[in-house]
Amino acid sequence: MLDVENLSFEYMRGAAVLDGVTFKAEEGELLAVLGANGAGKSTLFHCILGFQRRFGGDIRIAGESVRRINTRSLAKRIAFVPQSHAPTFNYTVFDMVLMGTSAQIGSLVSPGKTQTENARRAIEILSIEHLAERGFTHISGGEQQLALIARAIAQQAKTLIMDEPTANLDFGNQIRVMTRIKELSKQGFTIVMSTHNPDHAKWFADRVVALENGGIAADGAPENILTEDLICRLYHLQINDLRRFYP
Amino acid sequence: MKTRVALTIIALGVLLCIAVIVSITLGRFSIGVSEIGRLLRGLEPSTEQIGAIFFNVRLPRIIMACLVGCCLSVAGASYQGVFQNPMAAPDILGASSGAATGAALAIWLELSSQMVMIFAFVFSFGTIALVMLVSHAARGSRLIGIVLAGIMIRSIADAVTSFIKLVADPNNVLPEITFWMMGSLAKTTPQAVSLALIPMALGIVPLLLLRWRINVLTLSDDEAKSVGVNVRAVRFAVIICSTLITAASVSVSGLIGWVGLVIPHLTRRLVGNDYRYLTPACMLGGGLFLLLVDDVSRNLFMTEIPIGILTSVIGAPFFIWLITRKSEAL
Repeated sequence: MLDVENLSFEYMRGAAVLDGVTFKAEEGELLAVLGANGAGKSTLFHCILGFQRRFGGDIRIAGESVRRINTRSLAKRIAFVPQSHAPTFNYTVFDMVLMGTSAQIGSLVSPGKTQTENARRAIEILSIEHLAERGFTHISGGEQQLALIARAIAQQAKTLIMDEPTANLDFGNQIRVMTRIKELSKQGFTIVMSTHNPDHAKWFADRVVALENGGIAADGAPENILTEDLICRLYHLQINDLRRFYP
Repeated sequence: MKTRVALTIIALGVLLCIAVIVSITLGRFSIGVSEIGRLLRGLEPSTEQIGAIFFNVRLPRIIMACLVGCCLSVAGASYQGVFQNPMAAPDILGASSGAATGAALAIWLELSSQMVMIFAFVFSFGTIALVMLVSHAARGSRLIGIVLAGIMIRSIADAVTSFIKLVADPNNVLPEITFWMMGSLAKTTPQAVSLALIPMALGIVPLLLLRWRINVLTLSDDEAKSVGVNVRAVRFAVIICSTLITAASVSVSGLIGWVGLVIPHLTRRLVGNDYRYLTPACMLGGGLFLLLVDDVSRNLFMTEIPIGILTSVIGAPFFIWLITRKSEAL
């Protein structure tokens, strides 16, 4: 479904942020990207989403190179779920979700019946009907994250890229959001999410890709690759420190 | 919710119609309501004098007040959306000052009124471009950066205008520039209305069509791109159109401050932030506001008070009230 091949990227000449990154995400797979701050997770996502187009190597979505897909067509295939944050202007959750349908209509028109229906269905899938008419800035961080996921669903893309969907959420909300994400992948969505929490990768992901200094340190099923050694290497920890908390 | 918003917009439209009729009757030379009825039905005016005042003076001025109010508010609301900044407005960003500099230069060179408008647009767009460049290069918060850049560039534009005033002929050109800098609709002619109408329509129509895209642009750039919006193209189009209607307004009415900041904020309170409703509501609300202020400006005293002075006197305290009021929960 999503095919990243020998991807390299540098903001400045000679300072590679990504180098030789290769991995695949199959249809319906929940793939977690692990890595320390600065390992290149965000840059990787920016390349996949077409925000950065001057990368080396290739990224293919359903066999087609993202370089050759324009912003609007790309949005029909890949949706982005950013970290929840306060928007400049407050919109209702429904309108926020409705914005996900923008690629389905021309620039000079407003969403019509089909788009409204898509947004309504996305809100149903996430079971947040009770929030629809609330203001986005007046709901909790966890609820905001669910609304942003609903927006990606309304976009009707089959691949979802999620940038640390559980960042800044309390424990209950982390589990609630992750459970919903897991359900979506079971419904056939291909999901690539970054996370800081190895536990989330272990509990929920089908596969883990570990990034280290812009390259791939490990790639495989969480039970196979999430070893103490790898965690220590990724996050620059001493094995004794880690064992104090994870015996 | 949606019904309440629709009703608010209809109410604004009705209020605007009433205000237009009342404004026609107001003035040193009163025109009765029955006379307005006659004129609206296309009948001959009862005296020639009434006809002359109605068609050449009062009606053009009322139309112009509505148009300028509408344009400045829509420009303000649109700038706020695409700059993701609630403090953006034609006067804050320097678009008005830039237009003023261009217009003052054209007046000083004794060019035609079309050229005044073209100069106003070119200078106004130049100022906005500079503000964007500077704020882009500035470190720190983008919200503050753009406001600060606006203040800096505006002060340069104002300095140039002052210099033009200094070297302008004190007998005829200087009074014209000075009076015009204070903002006034007193010199509105039917010709000025038809001249301003074209660029205003050219700017407002795309802003109305793009209003859903402006909603999306209020998100972060990355988010807007990820849902399939060509951020650069849409932002550029919105800025061009907003600057065009600002320049058209400034070139016919002079500097009328605060409308572009206060009316969008007041309208946001009434109908919410969704540009599908905000833009039409701003058009009606801005027209209504400036028409009422202009009525005060021409009727309160024997001599006219320039409308720019009035909008500042009303606008600044109003804005203070607006930002200190607690926001209501949705």
